[in-house]
Amino acid sequence: MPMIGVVFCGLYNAALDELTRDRTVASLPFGGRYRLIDFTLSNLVNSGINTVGIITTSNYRSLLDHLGSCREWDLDRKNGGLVLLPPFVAGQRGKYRGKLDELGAALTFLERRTEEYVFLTDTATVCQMDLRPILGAHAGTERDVTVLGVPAEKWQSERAELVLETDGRGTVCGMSIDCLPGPGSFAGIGACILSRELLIQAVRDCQARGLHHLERDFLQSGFNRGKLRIAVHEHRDVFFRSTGVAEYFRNNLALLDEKVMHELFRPDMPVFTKVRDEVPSFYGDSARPENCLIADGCEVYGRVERSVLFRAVTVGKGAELTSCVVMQGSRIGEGAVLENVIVDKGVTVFPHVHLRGAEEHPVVLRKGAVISV
Amino acid sequence: MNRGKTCIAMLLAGGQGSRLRVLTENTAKPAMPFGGKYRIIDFSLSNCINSGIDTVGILTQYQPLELNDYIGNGRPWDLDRSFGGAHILPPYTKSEGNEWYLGTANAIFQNSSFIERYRPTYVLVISGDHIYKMDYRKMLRFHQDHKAECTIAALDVSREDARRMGVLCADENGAVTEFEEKPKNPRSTRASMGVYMFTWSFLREYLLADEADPTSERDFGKNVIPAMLRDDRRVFAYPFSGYWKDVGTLESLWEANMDLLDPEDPLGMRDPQFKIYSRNYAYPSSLLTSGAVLRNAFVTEGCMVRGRVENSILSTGCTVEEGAVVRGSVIMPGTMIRRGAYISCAVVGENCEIGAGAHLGQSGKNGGCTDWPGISVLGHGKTLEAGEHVGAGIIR
Repeated sequence: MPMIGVVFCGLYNAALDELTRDRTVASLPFGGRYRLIDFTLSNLVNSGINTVGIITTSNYRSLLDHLGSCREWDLDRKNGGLVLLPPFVAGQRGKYRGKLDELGAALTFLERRTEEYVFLTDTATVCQMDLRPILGAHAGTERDVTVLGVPAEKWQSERAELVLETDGRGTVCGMSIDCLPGPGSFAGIGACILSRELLIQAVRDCQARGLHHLERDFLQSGFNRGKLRIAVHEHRDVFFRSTGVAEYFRNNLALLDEKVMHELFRPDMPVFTKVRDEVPSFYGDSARPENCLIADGCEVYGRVERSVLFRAVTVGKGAELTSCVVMQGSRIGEGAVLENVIVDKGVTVFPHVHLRGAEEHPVVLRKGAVISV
Repeated sequence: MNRGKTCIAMLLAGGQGSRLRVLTENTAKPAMPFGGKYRIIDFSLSNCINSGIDTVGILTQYQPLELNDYIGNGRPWDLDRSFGGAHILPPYTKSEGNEWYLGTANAIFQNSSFIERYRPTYVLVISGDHIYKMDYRKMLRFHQDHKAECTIAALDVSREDARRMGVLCADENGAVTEFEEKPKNPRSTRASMGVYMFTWSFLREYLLADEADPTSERDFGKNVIPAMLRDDRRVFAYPFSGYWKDVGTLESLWEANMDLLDPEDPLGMRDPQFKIYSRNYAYPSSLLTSGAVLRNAFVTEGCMVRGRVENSILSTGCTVEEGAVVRGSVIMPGTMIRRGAYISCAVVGENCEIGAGAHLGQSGKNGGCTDWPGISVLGHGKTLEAGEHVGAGIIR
C-alpha cells in the first residue's frame, strides 16, 4: 500500500471538556473495551497501512500507556510501524495552534518516507472503512485531495468542521468551515487523502506564512484560489462522530443495536485494542442485565438497562443503572440509582446515591471521583 | 558464555487426555478451552511468569498443531524474550535416529541440551493440564531452605482421589520416605501435584542412570523418584493448600468450570496481582439484548445473548438466541445456540451449532448434574439438527 497514516490525537476539546481533561480525544474510552484511536488504527492496519505517525500535543500519558509497543495492532515493525511524534517546539514559539502546526513536528517523518500518499485523520470518528478502494479512486484521477464525508442528512451534530458542496459527481464546488451542512452538501468526517509531496509543501508554505489551520489555511484557501482540486468520498456505512459530550453519550448507547454491532465489528475487519487480561464477567443471581454492552472483568449484581459497562466495573445488589456509560474500574454501590450518567474511570458511587441526568445533558462523573450521599 | 538462569521450567504438554474423549480427539489436552477465555495451559504458563520464571520449555507430542499455534512466540504470557522465553520442544530426529518421547523423564532427558543452554541451578518440571495458581518461588525457597535435591509439591486429597495419583509419605521435616504411583491401597492422602523442583546437576545424573536402565518406563513417578528414594537422596514434599484440579475427566472438567461460579472464588481468579493470561482475539464486548436473562453466569467478550443463561460458563464468541435456555453447562468458544434450544448439564465443544429447538442433556432437575447418567458432551465442531434430542449422559 503506497500510503502512510498520520493521526491527530486531538487538542484539548472544550466540547468534551470533562472527558478530555486528563486525556487526548484519541484515548477516550468507547464501546465497552476500546478507545477511540483503536478504530482509527484498526482501519489503517486492516487496509494494509503499516506506517502510522501519531501526533500528540498534550495530556498524552494515557495514550502512550494504551499504545504501549503497539503489538496489538501489529505495528511494532522494523520498517515503519507506529511512529510517535511528540510535541516539537522550535525556538519556544509556544503551543500548537492548529493541525498545520502539529504537522510541523511530523515533517522529518514525512520527508523520510517513500510512500506516495498520506491519509490524514483525527480520531473522533468511529467507523469501519477499507481505505484501499478510496485510494484507488483518488490515485486514478486528477484531484489533489479526497475528503471523506457523509451526506448532510446523516449528520447528527450541530456543526461540522468542514462542509462541502459538490457538483453531484463528487467534485467539490463549494467549501465552508464550522457550520451546519445544508441540504445536498457533505460534512467532513475528519479525514482526507493527499500526496505526501503536496502535504510537505503545504506545511512548509503555511509555516512560512504563519498559518496553522489545516482546513481554513490550506484546504479552503487553496480551493478558493483555484489551486486545489478537491473531491468528496462518500462514506456509506455506519459512523459515529463524537465531538461533544452529548454526542459521545448517544454514540456509545447506539452500539446497543445488534445491526450496528454487526456493521461495526466484522470478523474480516477486527478492531484491535490493548489486552488487559481481565477475567470473564460474572453475573450474580440478582443480576438483571437488559439491553447492554458489557466488557470483561465486570461483576454485576444489580439491574443494568440500556447501558455500556467497560472493563472491571462492579454494580452492587439492588443498584439500578439506566442509560449509563460506566468506564473501566468504576464501582456502583448497592441500591444506587443512576440514569443518563457518564461515569468516568475509577469512580466510586456510594450505596443509595441517586443521580439523574437528561438524555441530551448527561451527568458526567469525573475520573476517580467519589460520590457519596 | 551467556549469563544463565537460576531456574527454568519444563512444561509437559504432550498429554493425550484420552479420558476427555471427543474433546481431545484432535487437540492436546493443554489446549482445551477452559473458563470462558482460557485454555488449560494458560494456568501453568501464567504461574511461571507470575513466579518470575521467564524461560519455559514446552514439550509437545500429541496433536501439537493447535497448541503450537496458541503458544506462538509466547507473547500473551510475556514470554517473548530475546534470552529465554517460551520454546516449543517437539521430539525431533537426531543423527542416531529419531525417538518419540518415551515417558516424562525421557522427554526431559532428550532436551538436556536445551536446558544446558541456560545453565540453570534448578529445573522446575510441571504439566500443562492442571487448574491451579501457585507461586513457584515459594517452592524454590523451600527447596533451598531444606537443601533438597528434589522437591515434590503435594496436597491433601480424598482416599478416592489418592488411588488415581502419586501418593507420598513424609516425615515431620517434610522428607519423603515413600512414593507410590496410583496405589490400590494408599498409605496416605498426600498426593503429588505433578510439580517437581530439581537441582539440575542432580537430576541430570538420575536421568542418565534411568536411560541406562533397560527396564525403566522413563517416568518420573514410576522410576526416577523411586530411584532417588532408594538411594536416600534429599527428596522433600512441599505442602500446597490452594485450589488444584486435575481436569483429566469430563466430570472434573465440568466441575472445575463450575467452581468459577463459586462466589468465594476458591481459585482466586480476580486477584489482580496474579492474573491468568491468555491469547486474546479481537472480539467486541458482549451484547445482552432485552429479553436476555443471566443468573449466576460467567460470560466472556464477544457473546451475543438473547436467551437465558443460568449457572453456566459462556465462552468467547458464543451466541444464545431468543428462547434458548442454557443451564448448568459449559459452552466452549464460538458455539451458536439457535432459538428455543435447551441445554442442561452439558459440555459443548468449540464451534458447535445447536439447531433451533434442539435438546441436549437432562430434561428436568433430578439432582445434581454429575449424578447418573451424568453430563452430556458434544465434541468440537459438531452440529445438532433443529429439534434433535440428545439425552443425559450421552457423549458424541
